[in-house]
Amino acid sequence: MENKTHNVEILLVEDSIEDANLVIRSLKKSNLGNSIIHLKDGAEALDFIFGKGEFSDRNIEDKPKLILLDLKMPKVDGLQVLKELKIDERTKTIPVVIMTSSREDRDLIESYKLGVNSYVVKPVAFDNFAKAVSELGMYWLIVNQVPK
Amino acid sequence: MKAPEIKTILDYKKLFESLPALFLILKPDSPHFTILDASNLYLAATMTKRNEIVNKGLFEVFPDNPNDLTATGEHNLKRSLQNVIEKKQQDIMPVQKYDIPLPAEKGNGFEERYWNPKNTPVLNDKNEIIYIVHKVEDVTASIFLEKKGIEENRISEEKSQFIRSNEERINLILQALLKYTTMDFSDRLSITDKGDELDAIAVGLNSVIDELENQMSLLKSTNSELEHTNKELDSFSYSVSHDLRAPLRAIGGYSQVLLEDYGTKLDDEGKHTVNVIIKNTFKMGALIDDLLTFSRVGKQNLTKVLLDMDNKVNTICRELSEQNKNGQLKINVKPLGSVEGDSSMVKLVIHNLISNAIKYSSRKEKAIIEIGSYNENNMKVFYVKDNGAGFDMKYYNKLFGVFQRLHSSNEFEGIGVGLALVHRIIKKHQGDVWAEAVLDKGATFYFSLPLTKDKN
Repeated sequence: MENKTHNVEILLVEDSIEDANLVIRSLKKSNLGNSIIHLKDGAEALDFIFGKGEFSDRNIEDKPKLILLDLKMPKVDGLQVLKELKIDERTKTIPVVIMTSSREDRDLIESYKLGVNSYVVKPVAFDNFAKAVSELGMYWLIVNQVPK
Repeated sequence: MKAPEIKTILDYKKLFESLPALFLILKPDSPHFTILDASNLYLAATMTKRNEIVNKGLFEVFPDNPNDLTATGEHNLKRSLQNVIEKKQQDIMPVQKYDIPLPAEKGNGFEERYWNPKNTPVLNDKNEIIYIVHKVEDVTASIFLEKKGIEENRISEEKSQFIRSNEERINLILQALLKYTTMDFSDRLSITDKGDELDAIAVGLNSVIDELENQMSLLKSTNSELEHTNKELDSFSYSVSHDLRAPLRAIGGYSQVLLEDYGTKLDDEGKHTVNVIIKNTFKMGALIDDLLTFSRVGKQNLTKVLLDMDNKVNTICRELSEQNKNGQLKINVKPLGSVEGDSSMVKLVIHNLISNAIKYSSRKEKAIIEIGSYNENNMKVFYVKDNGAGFDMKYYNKLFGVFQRLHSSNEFEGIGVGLALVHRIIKKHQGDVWAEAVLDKGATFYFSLPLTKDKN
């Protein structure tokens, strides 16, 4: 992973490398791809955010500006990651966007109950997918304001 | 015609014969009591003729019924007549059973009859009896009625006697029936050694309840199997929605990357090939979406509300015609009123039918679509009529099946889920879907929904 692990703007948690690469490609095309880190499952994501395990050198206050979270992942799934982020006072202000293939109502409802900031169903068509990702990035990184 | 001559001198013979009652004139020659004459009504009532009975003895003509061993007619009548002779007074008899012989043409034998006779002496100046007038009324019909009433009373008395003496058993049967109506089949009726009607009922009821209990437990196990299958189907469609879409996105996405990054290295044939791949990933994506919608509608519960159909249809028409600006399209929406249904499901139905109508009439120079409604048999019927490609009615049975198409994808885009979905939704609403079409002239699709109680 060429990604640096400090001062990360976007944390992408996605088990599919293909999907991840397409997301990164779209973000880069919109000039939003300068500091992205891609992790492949929920366990890695939690370690990264809370500065544990492999990422014990990280400070929990070094928060990403946006987390793009897949739902269906090995080990710890997206809903579990979301839950742990949103119950912790230190991390609950980080914007989390669920990006998933599932348009099942139960996932949608559960995510909102846990306090997700956005819920996006990945379009199959790449054009739409790329557009959705770049609009998301623009909004959360540039338009939206979060408490310091 | 000449008017009949009215006689001023009375014709006593004619007069007697025509009297409006049953009279017999007897000679007081006991024990013969020779018959001297009879009124016409008497002859009719006894099925006799004047010349056959006149000058014959009364009991020669009317003997007792030899088949009725308890017959008392001859004896009682004879005694009454003798009384008249002795006392020179009228003698009134109580109602008397006196069967009469049947004429030969009626097969001989005797017919049961009841009479109330009055015997009256006719005296001359010397106070001698010269005739006895025997007047009767035929009371058979009223006696029969009375007898029937008595018999009915006897039967109902027997029945109430049966009910009184079996009250406890009857109550047990009623209690069991009441329990069965609450679907509690735990008890069975006991059978006595009487072998009567109540036992027959108890045996029959027990076997019906045995069978019912069997069927119920069978149904319960089938239901739990079904529930299990439904859960499996649920998780299946969940993973289909997630797992099939991801690789599809990769195929489409990387094909797009290929075009964008290496487009200059591909010739036209190469670019075309990549575009075909991309186009087909879209198609498969739509297919997966439609299938999931189709299966979700199957297990979803209805949330019925009153739907403003005018508003709903007009909104959908606006959306759809914005997407179809090419070509001449005229959508004519008649007043539709309102009906009860699940809002999002009914919306899917309307959307599917109208977009089909637009799609299949897109090749016409002037596409005209009409949407309207009418009431029929407690149902509100809606229709969507177009002047498009239509279809051949001989393939009608394939129209509402999943993945069934009557046109190739080259002619009209589509995957064959839309009408199956319409069918499933409307059936879930206890409604009906049907269609009429003529190839190349157009099609009309109808769907009906139950009318709400406060009719509109």
